[in-house]
Amino acid sequence: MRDPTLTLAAYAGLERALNAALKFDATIPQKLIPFEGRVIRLECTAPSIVSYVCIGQQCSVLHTYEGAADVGLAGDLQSWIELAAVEDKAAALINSSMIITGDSRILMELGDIGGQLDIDWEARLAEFVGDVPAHLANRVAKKSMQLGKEFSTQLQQQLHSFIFDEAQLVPKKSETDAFYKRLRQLEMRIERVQANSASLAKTASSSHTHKDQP
Amino acid sequence: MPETQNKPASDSSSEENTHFGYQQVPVAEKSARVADVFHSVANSYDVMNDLMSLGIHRLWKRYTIEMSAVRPGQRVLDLAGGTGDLAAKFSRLVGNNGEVVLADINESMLALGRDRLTDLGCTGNTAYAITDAQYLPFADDYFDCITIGFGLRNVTDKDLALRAMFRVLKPGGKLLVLEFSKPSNPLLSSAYDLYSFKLLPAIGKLVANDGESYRYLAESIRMHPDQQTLKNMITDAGFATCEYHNITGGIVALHCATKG
Repeated sequence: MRDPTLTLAAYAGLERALNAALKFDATIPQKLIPFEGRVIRLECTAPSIVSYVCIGQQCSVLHTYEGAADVGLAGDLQSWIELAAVEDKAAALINSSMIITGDSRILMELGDIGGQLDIDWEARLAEFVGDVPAHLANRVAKKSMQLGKEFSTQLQQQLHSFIFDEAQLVPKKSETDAFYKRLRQLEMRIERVQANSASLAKTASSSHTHKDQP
Repeated sequence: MPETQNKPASDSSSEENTHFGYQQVPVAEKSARVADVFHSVANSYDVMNDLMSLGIHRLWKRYTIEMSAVRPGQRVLDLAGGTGDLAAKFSRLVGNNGEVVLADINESMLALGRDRLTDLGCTGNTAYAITDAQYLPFADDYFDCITIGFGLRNVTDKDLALRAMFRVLKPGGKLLVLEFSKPSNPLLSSAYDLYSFKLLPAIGKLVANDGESYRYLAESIRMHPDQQTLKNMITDAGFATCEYHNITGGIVALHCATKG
């Protein structure tokens, strides 16, 4: 059996981070009351990792759990990454290749609660450094994020125009669409020619048979 | 809660010897000498635990809690519970309808545990007992789960203690013995020896001003039975199943046994 020390350390860290995050939104404890005592089994099939999350005012992340979980979610690493990346988790769960077992309603509702998580970072920071520095830090962070977003959008646009227009490394979408349209027309013409030739061959064969008869 | 009873250590054992670390001492003296060690280290026990294990003892205890699979409403006995690390977690797990008994032979350690649990708000479902693990003052088939964390090696007659635990455990109940053991890797074993016999007493001297107690700790670990021997002792005591899990390369092992 694998030494559990590192797994235990990782799960202890996860548990602490999860509880800290939940503490940041004052509305969360109230929302979690209906789910207290529920257990969620999370499984990554490749690589093989299983964990259990026990919901409560203090959530627990366990690496072993005796008894049946209320709901289970299983999938490979790629599916988990995809799920983490999308905004609409519920739709992603339904459409993805992940396997849900047990009461899926719990998962959907917890997903919604997670989506509504509204962390007041400024208030958290103010607890440690005071109101004014926290407000300033928040403004700087917001401004930086805004600049980062703008920079990212501009970079995307410029990269697009360089690849498609200046360097012409790849054809534009309109060009590929026109190409595929012509390809489809050609395919249809070939099919027509093939059908005509088959029809002519059939006619020729039948007239040859008539001539041979006495 | 069953009433406390105290029995003499043994009727005919006063002339027999047992180990106290690497020393041989009369059986009747061992518990008093162990008690002296723990009276001496009680105040710095938690700090020293964190220092000595670099905080990893919390992971070992976490693993024990997970493997116990304790549920709301159950009765748990935390033997040699000391400052109440395990009992505090169990108190939350068993809820208002459950019961946790924090037991320790050492009054100083138990007082610390009781204060700590009270500070943590673990009240209403917790009880405290100064008791010798060899003579448990509880009714037969009383507990759903018994844990003994880093305590069994200090018990004078381990077989007697295991039989006592078997008696008070309900059929189907679980015994979890968390204890220092034998590292499986020779390299780790050498490093661990160096750490235990050179560094540990030095840290003990520096932080708790008590190098001797921590030398005893290292010696008592070496005198404790290895994983397989302890497993055999547990099954010999009557437990239906017993399996052990090495943690941190076997420095610590968790034995999980079930009463049939």
